[in-house]
Formats: sequence, C-alpha cells, structure tokens
Amino acid sequence: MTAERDALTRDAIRALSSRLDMAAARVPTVAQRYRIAGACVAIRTTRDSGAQRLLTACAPLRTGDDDAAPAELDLYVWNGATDGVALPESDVLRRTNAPEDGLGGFSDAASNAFYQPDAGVLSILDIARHRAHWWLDDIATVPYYERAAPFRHILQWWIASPGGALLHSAAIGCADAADRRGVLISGPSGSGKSSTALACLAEGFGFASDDYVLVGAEQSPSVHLAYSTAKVLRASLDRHRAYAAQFRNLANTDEKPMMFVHEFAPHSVRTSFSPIALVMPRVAHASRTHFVPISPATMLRALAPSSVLLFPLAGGRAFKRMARLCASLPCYRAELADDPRDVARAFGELLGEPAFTQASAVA
Amino acid sequence: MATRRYELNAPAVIGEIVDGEVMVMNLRDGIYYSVAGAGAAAWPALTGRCAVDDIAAAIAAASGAPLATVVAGLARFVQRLVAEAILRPASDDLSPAVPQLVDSGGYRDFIIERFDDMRAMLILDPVHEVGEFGWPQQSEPKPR
Repeated sequence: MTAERDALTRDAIRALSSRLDMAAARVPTVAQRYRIAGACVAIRTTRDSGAQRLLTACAPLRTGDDDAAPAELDLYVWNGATDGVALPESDVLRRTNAPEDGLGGFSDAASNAFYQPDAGVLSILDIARHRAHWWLDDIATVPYYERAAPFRHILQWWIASPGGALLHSAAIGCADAADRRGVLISGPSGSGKSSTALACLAEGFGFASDDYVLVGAEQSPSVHLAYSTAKVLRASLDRHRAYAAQFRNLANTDEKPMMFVHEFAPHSVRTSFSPIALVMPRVAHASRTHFVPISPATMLRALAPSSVLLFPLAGGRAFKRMARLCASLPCYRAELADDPRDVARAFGELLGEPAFTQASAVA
Repeated sequence: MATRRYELNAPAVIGEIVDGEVMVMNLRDGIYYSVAGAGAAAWPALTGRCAVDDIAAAIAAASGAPLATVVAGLARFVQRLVAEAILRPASDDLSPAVPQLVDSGGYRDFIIERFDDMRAMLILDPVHEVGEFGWPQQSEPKPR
C-alpha cells in the first residue's frame, strides 16, 4: 500500500515538474549566480516577478555574472501571480497521499516535493537533472518567513543528497576573517542561539547563521552560510536595541523582528568556516558564562530533533551527517549569563580570540 | 525464540550510534529515544536481523553476565521496541551471524529513554504555525 502510494506521488511530482519545466523553456528568465556550500547555483527569475526581494537573505552568496563555473543546480523561482505559470490539478497540491499526522510532501533519492498550502509555496527538486522549482502563488503576499529563509526545503534536499545537512543551528566565526574557524550553536528555539550569535556579532565576531546553516558531506566538516538573516523574539527587542535600526518588519506585530546582517555588518558575514566545537546553549542566568563538556550523544540529542523533524523529508540522510559531526568535534553546554558581553567573552575564549584569552572559560 | 528476528521500522524510524549510545527518531510521530547500556551493544545486531537468542548469547559471553539475566532483559527491551514501533519482524528469512560485540567492561542493563517534546510540532506545518518563539515552540493547541 505504501509502495503504491509512493509510486502515485512520484508520478504526481513528475507531472508537476514537467509542467514547470515546460514553463522554463517557454518563459524568458534571467539567471543570477550564487555560491551555496561551495557549489555554483543559478537562480532564475522572470524579469518583473519581484522575486529578487525574496533573495535578500542569500545576497552574501551572490557571485559575479562572470563566474564561469557550470551551475550545479538551476533553481527557478516562479511568481504565480505575474509569471503566467499556473499549476495543474495535482495530488501533491491536494496533499492527497500525505500521512494524516505528517507534513505532506515526499522525498526520496529522485523525487522531492513539498507544498505549503497556507503560504501557497511549492518546492520541487529533481536531483538527477540538477533542477529545482520554487513556485509561489503570489510573491507580494508571501509570509515573511519565506523571505527569512527562502527555498529552504530545496536546500535541505540538495545538501542532504551527497551526505550533507541543513542544521537548525546558529554559527559564529572568528573576528579575523582570515581565521576560518568557528563554532556551531545548536539547540531548540528559545535556547539562546540567536541571542548568542547576536551578542558575538556585537563584539566583532563573524556571523554565519542565527537559525539555519549548511554543513558539507566531507570528513573534515565545513560549515556554510545559507542565509544572512537574524531574527529575535519580539519580547527580547529591548535586549537587542543596538540593532533597532536594522529590523525590517517591526511594524508587523505578528512577525518575529528580522534583519539581514550583511546590510549593516558586511565585513562580519562569514560564508564558510571550519567548526572547532559544537555548543548547546542554556539560558542559565549564570554569573559568568562558562562551558561544560558534554558527550557527543548528548549534543546529538540537542541538535538532531529540531534539525531532523524540522525537515523530516530529508531527515534520515541528514541525521547520519549530524551524528558524524557530533562524534568528530568537542561538544559543550554553554551556561549563559544574562550579560551579552560576558557571553561574547566566553565564546571569544573558546575560539582563542586574542582579546579574550586571559582566562579559559572551559570548566 | 531462536527464530525471532527483527529489523528497523524504516523509513519512518532512523537510528545512529554515537559514542556508545544510540539515538533513535521516529519521523512519523516526532518521538525520539536514547538507547544505552546493553541496548546499545545489541542495537546493530537487533536492527541487522540477527536472531534474538544469538544476540543474548553474544552479550552474555562478552559481558560475563548470566545468560538468563541477559535473555530476560533483552526480551523486555525487544518488547518495548516493538511496542514503540521502532522494530518490526524481519521481512526475510536470512539469519546473519551476530557481529562481534565490544566488551564494555561488564553488563549494563538495556536502557531506553523516550522523549516526546517534539511530537506536538510534527503535526503542525513547522514553517508557519508558530508563535513568538518560532518553531518548534507551539503557539496554540491545534484542533485535530
């Protein structure tokens, strides 16, 4: 029964892909090239679709149009409201075969599709043909979280295919851009990831993520920026008042305040680094932020549930990468103090930053 | 008993061994588990369709524990894994040999911890039905 259902879903995905491929052949598009996790990705949009406003979070990954590397992925962004590309009736869109308690969507080695009915967003990736479609019902009304982390489902399938993973993690790097080391900060929402990343950013550290980050498949892990977005809780705005001028959407009270770090601190953005440690933050109201060594298994329990269940359609593949990552790096729990400067001080010591290395923060 | 063999309930369930501990996740319901002690030692053989009796004998031999103790502990452990839909009866008639077990310096019980703090989020579409704290903090209970 499951095999029969999967076969029907694959057929439905193929039909949708085919319709969008025909649109790609018929509708003129312009390509902009990006380096995502080291690979060249051509993002194709129609000239007047307004799709560019959705790609701000990826701006640090944009390369010049003279980048001669062949694109490893052609990603089409469609605006259903203006591009004249309508979707046909489909079981994928009706989520007919989605498990009742599941997310709706399908992913295997060949076919990947996920439809978000409320947002009106369809993501499709054809791994074998190196082609993806990100179709939005109307870009003018797309929810803010799509601007914060565009085409993330496509990214997670694409990076998981060769053995990498999209992690639900913040990531900071050394202050000196030439020092390509950094730290991954992983845990569920509310654990202090964003606050820690922004505390470090304020003290001059590199910034690679406050929420999603890519890790490659290679044995020696490389961490790659996916989005330059930073979001904070509205309730914590006062703590982040140094960034007040940077938030894009403060007027929309039902949205998390969001900003793009490259717009105000371009020299702080790190597009890739080698992680030296995995840290699980804990808002401990400690008098002084300090690190407690934890086992790789404990770290995996902090990292994997939200990372895997956030993107369950590639969960199995990404889970293996997360397990290897935790086994290969020192893991710590950060007992956070309330003072952001003290948090930055501790992470500076962990990274061996010269300005912070008078005393070790590692217990 | 000797013919009882199991396999991982894939693709809904995934498991990885890290540092002598197994983390198991059920992608369908969002529940995840930590498996440790003799449970971690038995995991590769259990999910590798080895016969339960053979696994018990191997653990008893490697740890020096009485066979009866291991058999009883393993039976309870397997029963729990099946009840949690982590394991299912093996789908083939092969009976692979139990892989060499690491001598962990003595017998430790079959330990399994269950975590359901993420379950509520999996039934939501995590990219939009969130509150101030964002996913995976659930905003309002959703009527089912």
